[in-house]
Amino acid sequence: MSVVDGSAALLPEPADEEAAQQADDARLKEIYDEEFGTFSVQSYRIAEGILRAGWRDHEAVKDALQTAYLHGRVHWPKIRSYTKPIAWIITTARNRLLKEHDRGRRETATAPEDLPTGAQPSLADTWEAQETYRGWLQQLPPRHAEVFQMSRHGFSNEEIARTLGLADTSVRHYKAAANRQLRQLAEQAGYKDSDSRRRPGGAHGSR
Amino acid sequence: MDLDDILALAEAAEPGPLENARARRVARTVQAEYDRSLTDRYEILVDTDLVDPLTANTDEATRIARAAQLAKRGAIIWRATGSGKSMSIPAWSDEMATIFGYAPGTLRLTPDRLLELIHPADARAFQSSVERAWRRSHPNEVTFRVIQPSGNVRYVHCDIEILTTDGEPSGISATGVDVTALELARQERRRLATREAMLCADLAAADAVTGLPTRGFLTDEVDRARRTSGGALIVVATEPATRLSKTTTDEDRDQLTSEVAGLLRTIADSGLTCGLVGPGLWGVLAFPPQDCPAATELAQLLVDKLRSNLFSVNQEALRLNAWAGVVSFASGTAASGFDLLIDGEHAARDAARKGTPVNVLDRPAKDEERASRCRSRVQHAVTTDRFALYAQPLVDLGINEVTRHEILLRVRGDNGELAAPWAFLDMAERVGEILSVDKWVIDHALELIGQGVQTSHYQVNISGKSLADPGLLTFVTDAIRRHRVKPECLTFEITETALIENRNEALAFATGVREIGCHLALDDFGTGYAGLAYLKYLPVDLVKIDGVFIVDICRSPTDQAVVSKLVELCHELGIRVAAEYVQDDETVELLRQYGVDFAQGYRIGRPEPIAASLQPAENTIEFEIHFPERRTAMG
Repeated sequence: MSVVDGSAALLPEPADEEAAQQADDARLKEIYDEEFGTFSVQSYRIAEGILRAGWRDHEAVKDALQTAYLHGRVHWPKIRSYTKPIAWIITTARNRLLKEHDRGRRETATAPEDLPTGAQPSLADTWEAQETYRGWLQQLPPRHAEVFQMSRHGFSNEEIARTLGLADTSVRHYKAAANRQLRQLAEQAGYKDSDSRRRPGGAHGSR
Repeated sequence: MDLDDILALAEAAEPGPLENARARRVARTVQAEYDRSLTDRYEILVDTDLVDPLTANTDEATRIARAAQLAKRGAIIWRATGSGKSMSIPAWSDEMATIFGYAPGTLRLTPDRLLELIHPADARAFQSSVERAWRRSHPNEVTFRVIQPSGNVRYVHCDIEILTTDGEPSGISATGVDVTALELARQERRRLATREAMLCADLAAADAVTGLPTRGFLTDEVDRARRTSGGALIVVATEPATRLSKTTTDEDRDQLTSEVAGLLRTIADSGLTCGLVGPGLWGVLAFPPQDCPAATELAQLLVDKLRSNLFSVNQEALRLNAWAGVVSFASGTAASGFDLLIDGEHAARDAARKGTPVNVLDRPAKDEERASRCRSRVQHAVTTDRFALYAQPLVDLGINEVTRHEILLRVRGDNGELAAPWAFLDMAERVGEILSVDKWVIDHALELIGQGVQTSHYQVNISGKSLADPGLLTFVTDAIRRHRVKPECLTFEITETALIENRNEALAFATGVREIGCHLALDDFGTGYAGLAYLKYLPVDLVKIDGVFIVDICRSPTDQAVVSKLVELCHELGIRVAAEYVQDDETVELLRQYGVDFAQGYRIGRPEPIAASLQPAENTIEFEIHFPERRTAMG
């Protein structure tokens, strides 16, 4: 049957089809690899900062994040279309931490003995400021700290609620409570006077 | 710099090279593992939710319950019904049921049942946290205990949040986990911190006037030396070379004592243990034993320096006479620390008697010699009345009036001066001669009381050791009758520096004196041998809390805890409480607040010769920081 033969001749050979599919897959993978790579490098620092706000154990945070990114890579074709893939990474890593390390976190977070005492009158560089700030964050209830840190990174209240599994109304209260407590800790440590007279809204705006 | 500045600074910089490198490393590692899974054809198991957390379109209660489940947190959800006026029956997640000790689905929750599952002491707190959160539309948190059906108690921490639908409050969620291990760890941390804060230095180890170790402390140190290296004990006896003027006060004497102690400390090497042996008796413990000449030299030096130093008392120059006794002892000698102290004291006395500055014993005295010398000293003091009686007032804090006096003993030294009796009593107690001293005190005190108007209440000390004597009760009864003392005006203070030797006899005495109408007190309570069991079976009317709990009470939370609880305990048992060593108004006020019945100490009044002080007199208003004689370190 020539027609059949002819038409068959027009169709790609099964082997060709497979090869084309593979080439497509490879191309797609390449695109995804690059996309995911960029996403990872850009989001990692933020995700880590947010998780470390509520978790003292840096190693645990790193492990949880690595697993979350791996799972994220596996399902990147789907996750890439999410509103903010980093929210999924945070939720996933955080759930892992909560499941595996809940005890350790709360215990260290509430230990009042190792509060840092006395501080330098003025913090010279970014690193010092970051360490000091993280020290204070870790003395806050973890929820408050996580909410505060996310808001510093520009997440909206609704995004925060959904990422951390909180009620919408809670976010505002946790944020205010965190702000209050941080201010108190800063004052206790002797940081009371503003260097630069506050510009309206300058210090409160998200970045 | 303030928080805003710090935040601005912390967030100012772009990620540093290190941070970028770390992010890239994570990305590379992840990519490599992913690639490996493809080439090796294994599947990476992803056990997580694959929904975009930001777009999931469910109602909030479902969303929160789901988030809690993924984080292995339990959840209880209440939904508002009827325009938010009332709450639905709460629903709990399987995880929360498990936390409460129930298999999922086996127990249907109702509001009442939920409260029944919570520890009764915490149920109200839980309920009010939830209600408060709802009322204020404000998140809350609460830690409470649940009693599982097995009877186990678990601590649970819950975050309470207000759920909304279209911006209107529509329910409550409580999500939480079992925090028992954490809570116990926290409690233990708190306990350790409390313990740390409440732990005090051993006050009994240092004498308050001189800062030198007490006789008890020195005795123990000498005893340790004889059990280990051996050594030499130097005892220096000092007395004023001229008679002190009549106007010399107790404070002047204390001033002199502390000056001598200061001088002693500067002469003796800081490595040596100095301490009090008795009034005007100073001990220095020197090592090692084979170096007896060195100890003798040191003794000579001490004597020389003390003799050549010009002291000042009440703005008058004063010289001291000094003699030293040295007793050296080998390691493992049979003589105890107390024995060696006595030997040193005897050696110093002999030096004074012979007129030589230093008298050296190259070995401890024989036991019989020492004991018989001690006994004869006590007997001699008793038979020749080398004692005097003083009285110190106690104020009844309920009515602010001196209603009692404690009769105190003073011992006349070789030079005729009266001195505090603690060293003498320690010796008499240890060589078994205390009974004759106690009898002397009882007889003479009752005689003096009988001669007076008997408007006060009098407290007379009896050593716990003397209670073993079966004849003591008869002796006391006779003395009361003979001197016509009203028995209800008498309290016998049992001094518990030595163990009560015979409990049956002690109980018989205690019961006996109360039958004739006298009262019974436990002295130095809390430091001696008197256990709480005494409060149970001895018919005690008054407990005198030892001064170590009082002197620093205004600054010591430990003392405050001990004293306030002890008062509570005693009052519950029908026992009144007195506090010794009360030195300032602040202490008086605090003791009054705790319900202490009587206060005694320099703030209330110093011991006075009895003839003078038994007359009704006004309160003395002296204010001094130093102690009356102390025997507390003797144990």
